[in-house]
Amino acid sequence: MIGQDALKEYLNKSNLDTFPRTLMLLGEDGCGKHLFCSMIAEKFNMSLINITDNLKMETLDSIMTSANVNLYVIDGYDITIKEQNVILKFLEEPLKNVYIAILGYNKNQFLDTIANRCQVMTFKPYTNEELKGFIDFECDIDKLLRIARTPGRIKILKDYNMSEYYSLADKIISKLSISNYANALTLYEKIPGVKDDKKIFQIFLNVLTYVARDKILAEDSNVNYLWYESIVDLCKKAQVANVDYKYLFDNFLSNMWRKVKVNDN
Amino acid sequence: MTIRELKHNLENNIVVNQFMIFRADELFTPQQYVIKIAELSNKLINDCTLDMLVNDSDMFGENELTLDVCYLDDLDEFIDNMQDKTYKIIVTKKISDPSTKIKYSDNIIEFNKLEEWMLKDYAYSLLPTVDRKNIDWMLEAAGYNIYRIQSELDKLLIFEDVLRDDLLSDLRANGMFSDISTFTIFSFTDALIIKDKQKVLAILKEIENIDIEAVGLVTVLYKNLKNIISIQLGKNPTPESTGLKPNQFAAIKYRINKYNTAQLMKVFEVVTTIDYRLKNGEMPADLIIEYLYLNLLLA
Repeated sequence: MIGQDALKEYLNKSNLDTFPRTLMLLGEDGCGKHLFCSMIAEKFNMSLINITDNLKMETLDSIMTSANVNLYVIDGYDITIKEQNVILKFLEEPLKNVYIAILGYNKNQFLDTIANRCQVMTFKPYTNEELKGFIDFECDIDKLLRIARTPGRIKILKDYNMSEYYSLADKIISKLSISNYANALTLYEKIPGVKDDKKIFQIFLNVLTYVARDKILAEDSNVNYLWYESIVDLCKKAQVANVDYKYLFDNFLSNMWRKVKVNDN
Repeated sequence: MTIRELKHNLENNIVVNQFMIFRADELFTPQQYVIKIAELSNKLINDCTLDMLVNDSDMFGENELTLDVCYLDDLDEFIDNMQDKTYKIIVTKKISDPSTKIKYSDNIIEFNKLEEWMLKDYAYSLLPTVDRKNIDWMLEAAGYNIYRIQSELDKLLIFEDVLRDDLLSDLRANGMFSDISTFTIFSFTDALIIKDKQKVLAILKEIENIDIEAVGLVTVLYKNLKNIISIQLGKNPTPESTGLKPNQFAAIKYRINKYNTAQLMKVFEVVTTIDYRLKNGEMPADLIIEYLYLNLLLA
């Protein structure tokens, strides 16, 4: 693992008795939370079991009767309140052989009662030098590092041509006002790779944000500010657990189409 | 009398005035016969099951206006309450005592269990223009339960011929829903799209007690609206440019211009906001239908 020295040092100094039974790992998408869990499991000779898709009382019952020392991982990104209440039950009655790691972006995603029962460890942002260590392909490094600030995101973008994202973002902002409304609503499908991996949408939003910001720097106009504020608002909405990105983006495009048309007129 | 003879009489509008015992595993087919007999006799159906259970001796009094019908699980439990009267039918699942069978052998009509091939024939006859593979898929999704099948056929028959096959093909291809309440969703969204308030209200009453998947409603509505937008607001739309099949394109063309451009955009934004509002906790799922009704029909 490149970077995250504080976490690695903490793990090296810990043993099975001192390592926290309930852990909350927080950080941006692709920062290495799963990798760190693998490192924990390897160091303490545990099995790593992801129970995200089985957050039911029956699962907890079977865990309670397991004789092996296991690290149970829960991806908390799209977790519902109902599922969080099941986790709470899990956390309230930890057993000797049970270690739990809950992964998320930030503490606000979780009930206070869950966060309070966990040792919270936050991944530090990666430096440019650390991230360059993950780039083993041809690309515009500066543009890449603007939008991909974690190793995971760099890895996703390896398979795609980044300039296509910048080009599409620029087209949307520059040309939505002169496009046909029905055509505008087909833009989600035009984001390269979004059908295969919905994390691409989050990356595309970063690109859109930077392009909108650059346009303000180039020209200080009302419509450019409108774009920037609307994109920032869209980015916030995209953080809501389980939200459908297609509906969100279509709604954004429809709204913007009407607003920029009015602005033009 | 055999069922064949009874069916022949009914098909030829011959009124049947005799005491009958329908022995059947399920009620659907006997009920169809009861309805037909009542219709031909010009009588109202009077369900006197409760009277039979409490042994009311006046239960089968002469009443020229009604056709008395009882539904029982086991005829033998109430055999002593019976009287041989005209204008009476008993529908029962079981006749345990062989002596009862002998005594009433002339009155007992045996209904065969509905086999899959019978249900298929029935559905095929009602949907002659629909691809039989799609019908078979629907029958399987309904678990070959005649009640579910009839319910879904009723909804499907609301749509024009040209749309029925596409509806089923769409559902089958997307594989989104295993629960066939999607047809209810289609009826509702279709009524919203064409701004048919009466139809919407009628369906709202019907779906009040059904556990409809509200998020599924939004998915179907979104798809319908996008198709309409691609034709109504698209530049020189064709099946190729919109990605729709030619008969889908033709069917959807009937549905455009119910909303003007501004309304259509507003309606689209209402629908595409619902998912975010649901997941953000701003709106509970059980208010979706009312929300759509108010925002779409009043747009």
